[in-house]
Amino acid sequence: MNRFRRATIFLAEDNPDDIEIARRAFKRAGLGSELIVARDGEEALRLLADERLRPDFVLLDIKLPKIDGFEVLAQIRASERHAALPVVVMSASSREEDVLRSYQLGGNSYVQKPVVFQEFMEALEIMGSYWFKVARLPRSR
Amino acid sequence: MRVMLVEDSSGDARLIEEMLREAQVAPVEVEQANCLAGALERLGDGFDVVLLDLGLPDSQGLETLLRTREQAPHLPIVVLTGFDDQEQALQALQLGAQDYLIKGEFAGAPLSRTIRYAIERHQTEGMLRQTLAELESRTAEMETFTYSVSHDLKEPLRGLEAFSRFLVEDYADVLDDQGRDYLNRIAKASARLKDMIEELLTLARLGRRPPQLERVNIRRVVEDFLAANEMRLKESNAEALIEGALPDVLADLTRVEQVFGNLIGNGLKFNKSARPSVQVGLADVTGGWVTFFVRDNGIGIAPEYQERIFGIFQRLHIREEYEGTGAGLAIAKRAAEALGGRVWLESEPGAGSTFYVCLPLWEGSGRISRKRA
Repeated sequence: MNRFRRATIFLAEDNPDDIEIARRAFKRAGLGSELIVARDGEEALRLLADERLRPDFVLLDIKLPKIDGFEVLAQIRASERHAALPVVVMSASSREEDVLRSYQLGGNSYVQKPVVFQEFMEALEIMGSYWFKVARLPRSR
Repeated sequence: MRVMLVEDSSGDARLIEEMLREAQVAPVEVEQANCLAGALERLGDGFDVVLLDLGLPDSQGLETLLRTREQAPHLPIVVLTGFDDQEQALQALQLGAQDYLIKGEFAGAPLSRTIRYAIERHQTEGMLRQTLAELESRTAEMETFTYSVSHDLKEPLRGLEAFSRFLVEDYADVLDDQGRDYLNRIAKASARLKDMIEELLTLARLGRRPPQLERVNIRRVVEDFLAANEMRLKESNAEALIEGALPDVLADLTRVEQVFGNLIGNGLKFNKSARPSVQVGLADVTGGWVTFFVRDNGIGIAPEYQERIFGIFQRLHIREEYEGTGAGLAIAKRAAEALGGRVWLESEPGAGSTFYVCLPLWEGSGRISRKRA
């Protein structure tokens, strides 16, 4: 979990309640030193394209205004800069097709709202121990 | 009136035409076809009724009727049949023919009356079918509406739940007793709202998803429910018994679980006996239908409330007395109805209640679906 202590977290979420819930959860867990929030899909893509911002991982809601989370995820994976950026998809939906689609588009994990913080930490842990190694291999070569 | 007469015997055809002309009330125009292919080709153009001989050179028996009906579902069909074929004629009625006439046994006046009635009935049936289709589509719309609204209601509820919990976790010590009491009430109210939304979703799903029919063992359903609720039963010193053998039903397992789970749970919950008890048993098997009883020694329900208890969120008691939102019986009833069955009860205040559940009997493989008689 240490790698996340000083992480920059990118949150794409339109619901102000869910933003506050996430903010509180991170604070209480001592997770992340910076939180970047995008309120819709368009803003998310704009901020992600900004070279000055260097998110360590993304929390992505599916149901976003303007451009939905699936499209944002697809564009993240298509971009050279963020192809290996860890993305956790969040949604109120438990529909199998939504879960499946998130993974097909390259999501690293899927958590259902209301986000059980324990589950979320586990998702991060799995990403920490596995995804980072796999995703960063090509670069260290 | 334009009649399509499908008849390969020209003698019979001529006879029928003459009868119709003699008995006519309105002007009658008869067009004859002596094979099915010839008739089907022309059925598009403005006929009022089809007189159909089932034995034709290019088609025999009920096949003739089915093909005609498929080609012209908008037209009433009267089947012409020989004296020996009345069994077939009855089958023809079941397959959608309006009436049948036995060759050699009819005269002009009854023939034209049969035709007029056939046209009349067909029109009425058409209107009924249309009304039914409209009703079905509105019900489906209603269910979709309920489903999506319930789903959307969950979102603000998440905020309500989360922030009242945060208040308790982060600020309980700066509140006085009154403040903490209010907080508790918010938490309870949102928990109740959550239950209600879940139950609305359950009800809406009952209408949306077609039942997956299979052989269902009722004893196992009841035993599974009891096993899953063992702790609760023990805590309230309650017992539930299965009396005798229970026949299998043709049903959807999830729905049967909803029916029996809610009825048994209800019987044990609304119960002030020292030892709350529920018995499940067989009440009756008749004509492909089986009726089970779920009997309790609970508080009973007065006759004037026996309809109302099946409505959603209907409660007969103040909340402090019995927990719950009052959706259980509504779900049980709708779940049984979704299987073609029904639920009803006999009860008296103070003397317990007996709920009855009628479901299609499992009669071996090969049966797929059927309607209640």
